[in-house]
Amino acid sequence: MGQKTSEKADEEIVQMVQLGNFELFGELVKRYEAKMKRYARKFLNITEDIEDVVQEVFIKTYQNIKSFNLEKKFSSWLYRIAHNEFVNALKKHKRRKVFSFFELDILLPYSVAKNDDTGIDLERIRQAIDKCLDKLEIKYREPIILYYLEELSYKEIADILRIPISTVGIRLKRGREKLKKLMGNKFYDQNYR
Amino acid sequence: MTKTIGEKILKKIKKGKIKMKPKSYFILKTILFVAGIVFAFLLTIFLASFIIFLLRASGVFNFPALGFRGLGMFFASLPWLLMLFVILFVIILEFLARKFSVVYQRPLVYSILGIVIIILLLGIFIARTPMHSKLFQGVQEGKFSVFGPLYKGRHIKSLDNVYFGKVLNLADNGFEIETKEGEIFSIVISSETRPFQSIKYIKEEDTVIVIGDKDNSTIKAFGVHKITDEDTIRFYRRKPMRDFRR
Repeated sequence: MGQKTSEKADEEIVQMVQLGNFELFGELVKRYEAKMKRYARKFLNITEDIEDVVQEVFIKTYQNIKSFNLEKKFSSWLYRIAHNEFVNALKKHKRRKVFSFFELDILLPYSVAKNDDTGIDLERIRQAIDKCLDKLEIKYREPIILYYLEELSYKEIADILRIPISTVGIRLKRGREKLKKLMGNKFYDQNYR
Repeated sequence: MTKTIGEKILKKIKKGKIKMKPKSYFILKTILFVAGIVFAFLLTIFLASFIIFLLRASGVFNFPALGFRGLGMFFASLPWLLMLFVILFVIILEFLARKFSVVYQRPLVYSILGIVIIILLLGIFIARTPMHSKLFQGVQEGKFSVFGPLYKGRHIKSLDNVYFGKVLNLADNGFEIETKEGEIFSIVISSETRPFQSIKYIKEEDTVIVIGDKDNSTIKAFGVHKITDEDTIRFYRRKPMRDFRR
């Protein structure tokens, strides 16, 4: 008996969509709709138009699905499309440059231990994200979202943002430090929950 | 009833409002991208090797051996516009290469250094082949007009105190040279002339470049180079000396 669609891996479904079974694309949307909406909401810091932006992400995904390499991870590819779409949305919204062509922390980033966040209360970080994320610069905001909310690895984040893996570590470290500063004493307040 | 994003998209797909781009579109895009990288890479190597050839052919590579003044002349003679183009192409190559995970996952400085080292090594290698020499000679003979603007040597700034000629006779404190235009200059050699040791190897009929200060028909040399490279001779004969000395 064949495997149920819901039990299939993303990449298997993509392969079937590529072969013409477009109905299965709905399953991919179902799997990632909530994640994409959360990513968009946190990254763009808007509540209206989220539906439209996320819909555009899935439309782009469907249009370009034949370029997807089945040996790669579908979720990373989808997040890359979403990143590009959100950056375009931000540019339209704010009518200014979102990322510089050249960032110093891409030039020669020093290595930051990947488990540099040991001893940090993840729940507290998530609260800080809820309260202060909008005040964080975009270049720190995005890795924080992808790592703490979307729970992606350094390598996946590096692939999505197309930056060195060590830069991901640096931006996460600086992002956390900035969040701590923004939260002030509340970050250390045990009763703040 | 409000439809989900999935339902809305499937409806659009069914109506033909959204279509998958065909595989051939992506293949063509990849081919064009790779062709762009290869073209930019070859052009950069060609320009880099041409700069190296030009500096060797004009003798500019020897200027730093003449001390601080020579170093100043070396920098003044560099083909800055061509070098700017090479830098621009390196930036374009880096920008294109950052589409590959093997490049973007590493610090920018590593990939830029990698590109610069590859371009320099290949540039030095190609500059040692007869390619530029043949093109240079061809352009002087009126062939390869498409390369004309590049190979006429105008990228090397003409310097007032550089003299090219053939040694007529040797004297106690120097020698006499005759330029292409038939002008005769007495070259005065002193302990300040560099490289001092090599001057005693200069013989009559040798072709030399003299760098020094002119006073009427006497030139007090602070640098003398015996020329054996055919490209250098061709470079200095490519136009009248008065043009060369402005």
